[in-house]
Amino acid sequence: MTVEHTPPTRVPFGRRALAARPDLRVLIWRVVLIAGLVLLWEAATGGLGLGWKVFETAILARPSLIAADVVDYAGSGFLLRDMSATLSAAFLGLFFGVVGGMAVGLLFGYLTTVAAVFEPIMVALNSLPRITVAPILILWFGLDLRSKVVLSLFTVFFVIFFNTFLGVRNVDPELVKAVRVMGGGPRDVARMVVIPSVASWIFAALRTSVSFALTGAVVGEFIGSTRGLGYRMLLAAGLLHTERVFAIMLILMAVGVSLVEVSRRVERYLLRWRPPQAQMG
Amino acid sequence: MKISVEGLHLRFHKGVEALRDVSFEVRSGELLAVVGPSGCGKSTMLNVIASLIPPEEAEIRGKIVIDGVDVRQAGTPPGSLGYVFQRDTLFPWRTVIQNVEAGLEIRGTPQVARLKKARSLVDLVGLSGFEHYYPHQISGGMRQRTSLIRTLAYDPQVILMDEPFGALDAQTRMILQGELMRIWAGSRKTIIFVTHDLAEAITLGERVVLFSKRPGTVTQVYDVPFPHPRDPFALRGSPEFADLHAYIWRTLGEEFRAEAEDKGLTARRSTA
Repeated sequence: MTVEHTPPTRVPFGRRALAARPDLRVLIWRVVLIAGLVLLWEAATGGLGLGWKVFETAILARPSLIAADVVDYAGSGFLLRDMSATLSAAFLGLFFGVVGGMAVGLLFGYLTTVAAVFEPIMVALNSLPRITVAPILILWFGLDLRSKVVLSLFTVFFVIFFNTFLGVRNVDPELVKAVRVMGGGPRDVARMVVIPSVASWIFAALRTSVSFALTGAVVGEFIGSTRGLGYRMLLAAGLLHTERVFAIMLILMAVGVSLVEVSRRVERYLLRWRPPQAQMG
Repeated sequence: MKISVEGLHLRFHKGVEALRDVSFEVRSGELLAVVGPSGCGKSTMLNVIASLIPPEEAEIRGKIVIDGVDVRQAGTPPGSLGYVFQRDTLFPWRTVIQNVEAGLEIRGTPQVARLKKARSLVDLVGLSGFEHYYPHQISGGMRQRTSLIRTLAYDPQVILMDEPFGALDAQTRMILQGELMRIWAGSRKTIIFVTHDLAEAITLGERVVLFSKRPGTVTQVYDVPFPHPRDPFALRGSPEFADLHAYIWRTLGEEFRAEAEDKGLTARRSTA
């Protein structure tokens, strides 16, 4: 018998899936660009011994001093304390936000009428700028960890809720039919179709949720707190300790980039069965 | 397994009458082709046989008897029926081999036996080397082969096929028709193959059942005299094939022409 072997275009997995992976030239230019910007910044704030001070360091901190301040901050022991406060709030918020969003999303996904009744409330709450609930959360939950967790949870909740909800609603009825024809019961349908399908929608929201969780925690600390990176930053700004403000921005950037990168990899691995277009973005 | 459909009527509650007094028999181990214009209720009929139409969707009268059991009363034993749909319904999150194993998983077959069975079927249709590909990574023809062997894997006695090759290009379609007949000859499952393509029906079927346009009913049953195993490529070129095609077309043609006029199109194919 003859079988036509049309080898599919091999879809690369993992790291290679980054189709737009920068080549060496781009990489070199990036390094040059960043180094150039930092040097220019250093010079413009009176560094490099050029005496070319365009900005006061109280307004725009000098990169070398920011770096030194990061070391100071770490040495004082406060960095660890603040970071653990912020990350605890972010991760607890992420966890409860994901669990809550999934639970309510599943519930609404199955209970059509309930979902229809609640729809305006969900839409209204979702349209509310997240930060605006922060002051009231401080009133309700106090200055410590809890209020930050709740704010972080609140921002994550809706992302996961809407994705779970859509996931349940978008379960392919043809696949359900296929399982039933094979003799599968409700448990098989759940295991083979509903769970993987909903999970894919939730995984796709993971990256957004992680950065939302971090934002929620830091904003919560701005509004009222006694510790955390956001709290320390606000304090430093009040004291015109500009190096510290920039140092914390730098740290938050690093934390954010790493968390998003980790979740991007987790997502890419979990959703490796998807066509690559669906994975981008 | 012998199937007989007796006086089947179906009207959807939304108002469409899909089937009117449909009666025909499928002999045990037969490959029966059902052909009719698009939207004539052929797929609906398969769905009734597979108990996929709940009473809240449609009013159904008549009997479907499989080996003496009225399936509309008693249902079909789980796993006794296979269904290959027009659109492949592979699980996108499962690889080829995991898809093929699905039916066996439902039956609780141990993993080793499952894998062995799935491997042999993958070999049977020439998919070796693609076991660990996800559906989106393989061609339409390969996906339909996977669908077919996923159905064969749990060894149902009856297989319903709803235009399974409809979305494939002409050449791949003929290759798969050949493979289907080879598999059928080796296993002697009872197969009902629904299509709107008369040539495909004649190529495959031992008999061809003609459906009228909606509400669908059986207008004719033809014996197709060509001996199995058939080679779709050789058969299509033979004068006997052309004669039979022309002969049946005279009857069916009226139904198809009526459909074409309805849509303001000519000879346009669409899904049933």
